[in-house]
Amino acid sequence: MDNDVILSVRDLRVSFRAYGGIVQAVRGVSFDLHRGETLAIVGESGSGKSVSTKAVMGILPPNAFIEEGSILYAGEDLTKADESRMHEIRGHRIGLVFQDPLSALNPIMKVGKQIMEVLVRRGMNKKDARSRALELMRDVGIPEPERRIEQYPFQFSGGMRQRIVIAIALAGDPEILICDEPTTALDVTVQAKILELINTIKEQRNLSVIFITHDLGVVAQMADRIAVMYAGKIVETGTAEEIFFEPAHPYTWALLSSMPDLETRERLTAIPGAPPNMIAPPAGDAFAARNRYALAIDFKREPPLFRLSETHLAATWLLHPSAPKVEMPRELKERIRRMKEAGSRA
Amino acid sequence: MPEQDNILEVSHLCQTFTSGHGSNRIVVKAVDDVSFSVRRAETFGLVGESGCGKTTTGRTIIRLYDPTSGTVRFGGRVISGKMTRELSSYLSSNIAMIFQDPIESLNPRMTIEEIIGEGLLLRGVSRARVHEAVVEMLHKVGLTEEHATRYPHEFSGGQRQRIGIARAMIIKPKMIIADEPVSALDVSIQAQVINLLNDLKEEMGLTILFIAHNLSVVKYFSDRIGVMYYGKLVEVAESDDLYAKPLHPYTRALLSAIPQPNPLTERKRQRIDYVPERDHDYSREKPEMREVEPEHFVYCSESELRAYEKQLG
Repeated sequence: MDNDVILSVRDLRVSFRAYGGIVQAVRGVSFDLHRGETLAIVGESGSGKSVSTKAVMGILPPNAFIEEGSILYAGEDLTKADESRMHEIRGHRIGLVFQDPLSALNPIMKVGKQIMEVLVRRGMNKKDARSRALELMRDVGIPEPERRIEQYPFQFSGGMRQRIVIAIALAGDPEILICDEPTTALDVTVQAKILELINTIKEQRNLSVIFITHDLGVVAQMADRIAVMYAGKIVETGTAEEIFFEPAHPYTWALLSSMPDLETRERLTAIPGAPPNMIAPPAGDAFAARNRYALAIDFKREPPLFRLSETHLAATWLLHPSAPKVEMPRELKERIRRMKEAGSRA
Repeated sequence: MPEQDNILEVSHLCQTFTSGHGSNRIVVKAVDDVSFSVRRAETFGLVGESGCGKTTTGRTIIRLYDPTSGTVRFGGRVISGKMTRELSSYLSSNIAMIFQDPIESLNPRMTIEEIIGEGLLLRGVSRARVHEAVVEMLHKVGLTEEHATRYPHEFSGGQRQRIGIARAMIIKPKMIIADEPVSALDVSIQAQVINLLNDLKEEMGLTILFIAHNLSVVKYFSDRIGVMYYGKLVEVAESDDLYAKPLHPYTRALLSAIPQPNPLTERKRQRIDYVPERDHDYSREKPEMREVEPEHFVYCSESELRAYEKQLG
C-alpha cells in the first residue's frame, strides 16, 4: 500500500504575513496521494485548501511562508527544494489547472505557442513540439486544432480555454495533476464536459489527481477519497462512500445537510455564524463555536484524528470512547437514505 | 391567459443590445420574445446558463434597461412604457432588487444605516423614523443595532448579503427580484441566506423572481420555474413537474449536467447533450410557447407538441 503513495504531505503549516498579524492559513495538514487516485479536498473559502496545494507546487505568494512540515515527492522534500528544482518539477511532474482559465493564459501569445513552450523547454525541436501540441489539443477535445493553434486565448470560450490550460498541464507529461476549482467559473453543461475530460485523461495516463472544490456534487462525481478541511485543518478524511454515507465530524454533517438537494422541502439546517479569524484561531476544535453538538472539551483541547476504519479518520471528540453518544442529525440520515435509494435505482 | 392573481405579466419582451456602427454594427438579442407571468406571493425561478438572458430579463422588468419591445405589467399597470417621474417612484416603491455580488452592490463610503435607510429618506421619511425602521430591519435579517454605524468592508460576505436584503425589504416592496443572491457565498452561509429569504417571504407575503443557475437551490426555493436558453424561454412548469418530467431537450440536458452530491448516482450518470440543429427541425413549422399539459409550457412546434403529449401519456 505504501509503495503506492506518490505524494505525501506531513504536518504542513503555512502562514501569511498580513496587515493585522500572522494569518495561520494551514495548521498542520497531512495527507497522502496514491497513484491513480483522485483525492478531493473540500472546504469553504479560507479553509486552507488552495494554500496547501500551492505549497506543494511552490507557488505561494511572497508574504506566505512554510512554518514547518514536509512535502515528500519521490523521496524528495519539496519544502527544501530550490526554485530551479521546483521549476523542473512544476513543468514535468506536477501539472496545475486553475479556476480561471483566462488569467492562467498569456493573453498576447497564441495558444499553440503556450503549449509548445513547455515542450520546447523539455528539449523538443519546434516541428515535433507543434505536432505534439496538435495531438494534445485533440486529446483535450478541441475541434479543428490546426486552425485553433494559431488563435489567441480571447478567441476561445471559457470551456475551450480550460481545455487549453489542461493541454498545457499535460504537455509536461505529469504524474500528478492538481485541479484548483477548475470548473467553478464555468456553466453547468460545460462543467460536466470538463469533468468528464479530466476523468478520461486521468484513466488514459494513470494520473493521480488532487481536486480542490467546494461543490459537493462535483466531489461526488470525481473523488475516490475526500479530505474535508476547516480552518486550516483536515477534520475528516475517508473514501467517497465513507464521507457521503458515514460522515462522523459535525462539520461534515453540516456541510452535507446545509444545501438543498432536489427532494429537500423542509427548512435548511444552516450552519450558524461564520468561520473563525485565522489570525487568532480558537483553542480546541475550531468548529466548536458553530457546532450544536460541541462538548466542553471541544473549546479547550484540540481533538486528535480518531480512526474509524483503515481509510476513515475524523477529528472530533465525539468519537472518544467516553464521549456521549451523538448521532448525526435526522435530516441528514434521511438524506443519506434517499441517496442510497437513488443509487440502487440508478 | 391573464388571470386576476398575476402580479407580474411579461409579454413578448425583447431586449437587444447594439454595439458598433455601420458595417460593424452588432445586434445581440439578449431577451427574445419572452412571456411569462408571476402570481401574487409565489416564487418564480428563472434558470439558465450565463448569457441566456435571465439577468437581463430581471433588469429590464425593473427598468434598469429600457425594453426594446413587448410589455410588462405589474399589478395591472404597464411598467414598460415611457419612463416618467411618477412611474419611477411607482416602480421603486413596489419592486426591489437583490444583487449577486454583495461587495460591489454596497457603496463603500456609506454606513449601513445610510445604505439601508436611503430608500426611506428619499421618500421623505424623517431621520428618527428611518433610524427606527433600519434597526427593526437589521434585527429581521439577523444583525444588530450596533452594525448600523459601520461600513460595508467590516462585514463578511454573508452579512453583506443580509444588508442587501434589508435595503431591498425596508421599502416594503410587493415584489423582489433576487439575482443570484447566494451564488457568491460559501456553502455554509448560503443556507442561512436562503432560510432568511424564505422567512421574509412568509412574513411579508412577498412575490419573488428568483434568478439563479444552481438548479437545486432554485428547485428548493421556487413554486414555478422558467428555463431560458439563448434569450428564449424554452420551458415553464411547476418546479416538481419540471424536474420529474422535463420535456424540452435543453431542460433535459441542463438537468442531466447538474452534479448531485451522491457518489452512487454520479458515477453512473448519463449526460445528455443539447444540439439545437439536431434536436429541432423548424424549417416548416414555427415554434412557439405551447401548453403541453395544464401549467406546463414548452417552446416547441406543432409536431413536437404532439410528441410531448404522447410522452406524457
